[in-house]
Amino acid sequence: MAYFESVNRSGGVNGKRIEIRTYDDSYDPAKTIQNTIRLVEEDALLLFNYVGTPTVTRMLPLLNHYRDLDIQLFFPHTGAQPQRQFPYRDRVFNLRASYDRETEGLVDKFVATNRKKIAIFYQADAYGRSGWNGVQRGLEKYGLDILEEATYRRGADYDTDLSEQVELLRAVEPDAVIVVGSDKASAAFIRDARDADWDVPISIVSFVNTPNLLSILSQESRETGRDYDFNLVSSEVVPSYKDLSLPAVREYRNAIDRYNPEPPQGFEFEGYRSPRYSHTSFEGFLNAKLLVEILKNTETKDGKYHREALVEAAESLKDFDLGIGTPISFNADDRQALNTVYYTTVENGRFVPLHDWEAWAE
Amino acid sequence: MRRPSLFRKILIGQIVIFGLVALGTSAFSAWNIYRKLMAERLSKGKAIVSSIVYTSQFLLESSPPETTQNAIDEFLAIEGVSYVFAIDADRNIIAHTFVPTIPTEIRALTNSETTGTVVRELEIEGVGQFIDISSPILLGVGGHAHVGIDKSEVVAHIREAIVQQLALILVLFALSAIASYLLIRQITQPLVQLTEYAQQLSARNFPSDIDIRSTDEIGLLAATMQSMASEISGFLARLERAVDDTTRKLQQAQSQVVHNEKMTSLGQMVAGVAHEINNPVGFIHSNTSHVSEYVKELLEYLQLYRVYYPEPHPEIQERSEEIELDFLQEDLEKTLGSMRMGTNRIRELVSSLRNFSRLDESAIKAVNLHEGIDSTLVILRHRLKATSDRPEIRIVKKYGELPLVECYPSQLNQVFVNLIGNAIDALESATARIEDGMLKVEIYTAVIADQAIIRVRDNGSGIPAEVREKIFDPFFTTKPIGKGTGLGLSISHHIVTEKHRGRLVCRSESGYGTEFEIVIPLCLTGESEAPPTDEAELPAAERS
Repeated sequence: MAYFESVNRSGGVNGKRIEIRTYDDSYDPAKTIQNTIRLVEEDALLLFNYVGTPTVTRMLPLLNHYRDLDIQLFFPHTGAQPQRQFPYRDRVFNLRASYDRETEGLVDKFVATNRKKIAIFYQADAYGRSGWNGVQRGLEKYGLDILEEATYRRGADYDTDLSEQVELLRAVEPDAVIVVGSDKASAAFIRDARDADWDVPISIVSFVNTPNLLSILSQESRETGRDYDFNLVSSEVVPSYKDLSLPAVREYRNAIDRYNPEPPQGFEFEGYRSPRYSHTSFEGFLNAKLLVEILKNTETKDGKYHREALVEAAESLKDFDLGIGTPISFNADDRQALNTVYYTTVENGRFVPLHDWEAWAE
Repeated sequence: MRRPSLFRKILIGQIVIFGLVALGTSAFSAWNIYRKLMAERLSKGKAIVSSIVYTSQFLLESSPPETTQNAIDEFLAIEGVSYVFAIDADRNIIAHTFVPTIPTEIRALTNSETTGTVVRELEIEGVGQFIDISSPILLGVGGHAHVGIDKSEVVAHIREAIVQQLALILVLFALSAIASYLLIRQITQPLVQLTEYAQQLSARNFPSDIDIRSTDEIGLLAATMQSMASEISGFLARLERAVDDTTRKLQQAQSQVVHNEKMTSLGQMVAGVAHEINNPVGFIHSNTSHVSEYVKELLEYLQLYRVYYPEPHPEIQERSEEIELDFLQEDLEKTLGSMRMGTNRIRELVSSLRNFSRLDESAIKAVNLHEGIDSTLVILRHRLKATSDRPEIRIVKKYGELPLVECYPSQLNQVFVNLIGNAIDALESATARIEDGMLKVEIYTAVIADQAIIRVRDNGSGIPAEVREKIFDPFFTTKPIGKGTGLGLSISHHIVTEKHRGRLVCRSESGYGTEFEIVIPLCLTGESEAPPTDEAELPAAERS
């Protein structure tokens, strides 16, 4: 939002303002489909930054339905596999790496540190299944299997008691637990594990807004006097927003500081203050920047944008410097921009880039 | 109270009926719902499985697991479906809906070899009972799809349905109980009234009316009871009267017997005494005339002596002066006359006594009633004389022309004695109140229409009304103890009304005296077929 705001203030793209329409789907797939139909009917040029695996994977058939309109989804905030595969790969452009890439990477790192007994706790839906699939594939490479799995229902909040799942996994004594869940469910799992004096390394994935997670856990810590923020690893699909050596991070912080965007109208929650910076918002910033770049390259007919031209511009993007050190390219056969996974861990109450995996060795 | 008891019985009956109905319908419903739900769930499960199998043929190989997960998530939303999972050809679960983890029973299930659709009962420990329906994808090459149907959910459905049904039955039962309470109250209200009525009847209280307006059998019963009560009431009244009557008769008979016995002994004694006196008095009386004649001749002879011997011996002269001969001659005749009068009165008295006792006259006989009355007066003469307390009582006879009357003379004489005696008693106790100071008993006789009427009236103080009602009751008396038996008027009443088919009426006005009136037919034998003399009733009187 901040980036679009800054672009609009400095004259827009090719002299045109970017209009953003936001609709809330409450992480409910049925609403996602509803909102998508609404946006198509409102003649949106493109769909942008959809959040969530069950939501996005369920609305994908709609894009094939609107095949003739050639409407594209740009940079959904999910690492799920379907939009990266047939029959939807021609409808979606992805910036971030996929979940299975993330969890596979986590497995690689754990196995490398001799943590071969991997258990997984995941959301019982397509998102969780996506992460589970990555873990499965990762372990398969080493001839290993998932040691034990536990699930929770989508929509579980922080008050949900997950101690049963904790006990299930703890019973088989895994070397590490990979959590594929929402902010609140992940936080609840960490809380119940630590409350049960189980200090196993727990990893979370990029879908989790880490500053948000930490703020929930530190709140809990203040109430119980326990530490919750140790032995945590987070896999990220964008570089750390703390790495000021990257031009994109500087630009991101600049935009946030300048425009200090509030959540879109109607999205405020009482008592919730979104963290100033986060991987999530940084990803959003990168998504926006990449989209604007594509828009800049798009040819207009009669001063109007057309979807064919947009796809053409996107697919012809080559070695664009987004400011994160990795050049971005799309073509008709490859609509996946990034495949890199970044790891962070908590130090002094903050997630910082994790460089030394040896310290995690068993 | 009877009403709640009846209500309780009917309530218990209703509870039993409703209980049976509830039990029966619940069991039937449970069985029915279970059968239908299970069939429905089973067919649903089969449909889901075949649907998954069909779509999976296109999805499994080419699609990421997210798509499979999305598909089974969709099926999980269907009611009655507890879990869905898919396994690949290597028997690994590639997508499932289990939370918090895959149960061991399910893991065991993945290893079983199946061809075609299989329905299995499955119990998952700590979760419940399920029906697992599985079907192979591409004949098992593509793996298997499983759908779990929750049996306990079916049971919960049944329970809910049963609870609703029982609630409905309970409501119906409550309504029915209220209705029957109202109905029973309507029925028992008249019953209670009827019961109270019957209780009153038992207490020999005969209320004139009961307020039962219902037109049904109870109303009929009430009406019947009412008419029965009135009949019983009448019967009881008659019975009481009869008992009173009999009692009175019995008392009268008893007193009659006693009295008769007394009178008979007295009569026998009087007759004996009169008989014994009669003989000596008879010859005394017959000799007085001879004595009178002899004395007269002796005196004539003495007169001759005095004529032919005017100068007697001085000693004779002296002696005649000493005995006052002249006075003696004069007085001797008077003395003899007085003796004759005395013996006459003795004879008269003896004749009256014999006449009164009439030992020979206990059978019906035509008599002159005036003789009986006169005999009675002779007997009671001594009571008429003046005393220190009162002047003489005068008897005023107002006798009419009275033919011979057929009657039991001795019994009627008793009545006369009683009535005249009572009149004298009344005058003796009421002296102060006689205005002109003259005490009198008036005796009146007459004949009116073949009936003899005898009235005995005194000018005493009269009888108060409350006493008058009871004067004919046996043993009722106003006299001091020892003076009266209370039988006199009762016996008299009996003699007049029963023996002579007559009437004995008392008329009295306080302060003006009392009148008793005897009315008896002149002819007693001809008027009645059965003579009133009853052997059983008056044996003593008849025996004598």
